[in-house]
Amino acid sequence: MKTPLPSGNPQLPDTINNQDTHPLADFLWLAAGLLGALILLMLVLAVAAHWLGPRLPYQWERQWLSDATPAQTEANSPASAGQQALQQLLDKLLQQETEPLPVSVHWLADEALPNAFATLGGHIFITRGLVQQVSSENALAMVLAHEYAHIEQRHPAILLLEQLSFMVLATVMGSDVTGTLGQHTGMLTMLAFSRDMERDADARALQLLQQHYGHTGGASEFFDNMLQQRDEPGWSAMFQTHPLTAERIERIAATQSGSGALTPLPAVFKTP
Amino acid sequence: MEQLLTFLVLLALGFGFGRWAEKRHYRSIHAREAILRGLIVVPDRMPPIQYQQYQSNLVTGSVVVSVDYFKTVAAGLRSFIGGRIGAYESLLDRARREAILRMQEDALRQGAEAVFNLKFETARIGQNAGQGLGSVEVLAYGTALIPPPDPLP
Repeated sequence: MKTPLPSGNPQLPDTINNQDTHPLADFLWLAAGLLGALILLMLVLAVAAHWLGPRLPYQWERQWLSDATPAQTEANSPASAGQQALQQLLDKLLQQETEPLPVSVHWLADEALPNAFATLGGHIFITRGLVQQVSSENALAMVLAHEYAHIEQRHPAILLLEQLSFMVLATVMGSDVTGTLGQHTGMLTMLAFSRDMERDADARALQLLQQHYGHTGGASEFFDNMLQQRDEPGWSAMFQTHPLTAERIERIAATQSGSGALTPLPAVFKTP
Repeated sequence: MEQLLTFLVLLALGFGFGRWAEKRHYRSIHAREAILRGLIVVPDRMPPIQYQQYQSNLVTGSVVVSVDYFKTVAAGLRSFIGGRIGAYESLLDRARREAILRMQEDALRQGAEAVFNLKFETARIGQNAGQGLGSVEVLAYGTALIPPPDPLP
C-alpha cells in the first residue's frame, strides 16, 4: 500500500511565525511608555528625597563625613587667619539664632576664581577670588549666609539622597540603553542645587542679614560684580542651576529694607 | 549628549539597514520557495515503499544571521514588559526558511526527488558578545532520496 505524498510543499502565509506589524510602531510605543514610567519614578524619588533629607539628623551627616574633612590649615598661617575671620563672621551672623547648626568654614586662599559652595557634612568653602570681588562685610556676609542657609535647609542631604536613588535606579535598569537614557534625563536635576533651593537660600540669607545688620544693604554687591563680567542670554535660565544673576539681584532689591552704613571687610582680607 | 547621539545613529543605522535587508531577503525567499515547491520536504522518518531502490544521502542547509542594533534595543525594551519580540521572530523565521532552501538546493544538486526526515538544529554564536549583539545559526538537515541510475540496457 502506498502512502500518498504531497505533490509540493505547502505555501504558508508569512504572518504565522512573523508578527505582521511595523517594527517602528511597536518600538515607539515601548520607548515612550518606558521613558514615561522612568520619569515618573524619578519624580517620585526626588519628592521622597526632598521629604526625607531635612528629616535626617544633622548630627549623622556631620559625623559620617568627619573622616573626609579636608585637612585644617596650620595655625598662624595667613590661610588660617582668613579662615578664622570667616568663621567669626558667620558666628556673628548666627548670634541671634536659638540653635545654630555647627558649620565649618574653609578658606581657599589659593583659588583665584570667585566661588563659594556648601557641601555635605556642614562645610562652607569661600575662595580668595570671591573675597576680592566684594568691598564690604555685608556682601561677604550675604554669601556666607546663603551657603549656611543651604546647610540649614539640608540641601546637600537632599541632593545626596536624590543622586543615590537615581544611581540605584540606573543600576536596576541594568541594560546599557536604558541606563544611558536614565542618566540623561536625570542630569537636569542632578547637577547641583536646584534653582528653587537657591531662591530659598537667598531668602533665608537676607533674613539673617536683616537680623544682624538691621538692613540688607550691600547684599547684592557680589552678584552686581558678576553680572558686569559676563553676559547671560535669557534662554540660558532653563539650563542653569542658579537663578540668573540679574533675576537674583532684582529679588534682593525687592526685599531690600532700609539702607544703613556698610561694615568694612575684616582686616585680614584687605589687599595690601 | 555624545553618547545619546551615538546611540541614535546606531539605532537609525540598525533600523535602516535591517529593514532593507529583511525586505530583500523575504523577496528572495518567496521566489526560491516557488521554484523549489516541487522538491518535497517532509518530516517523516521512513520513506514510502516506492523509494525502496533509491539512494539516500545526507543534505544540509546552514544559515548564520546576526541581529542588528535596532532589534537588540527593541528586544531590550521588551524585556521590561514581556510579550512577543517581533524583531527576533522575523529574523528567525527568515533563518529557518533560508536553511530549508539551502538544504533543498543541496538536494537538487544531487538529483534528489524528495527530502525525508527533516530536522532543525540551532546554536548561538558569539555568546552574548558585547551588549547582547550576537548571531544565531540555524541548520536544517534531512535525508535526500536520489533515484538509482538507469539499469544497463
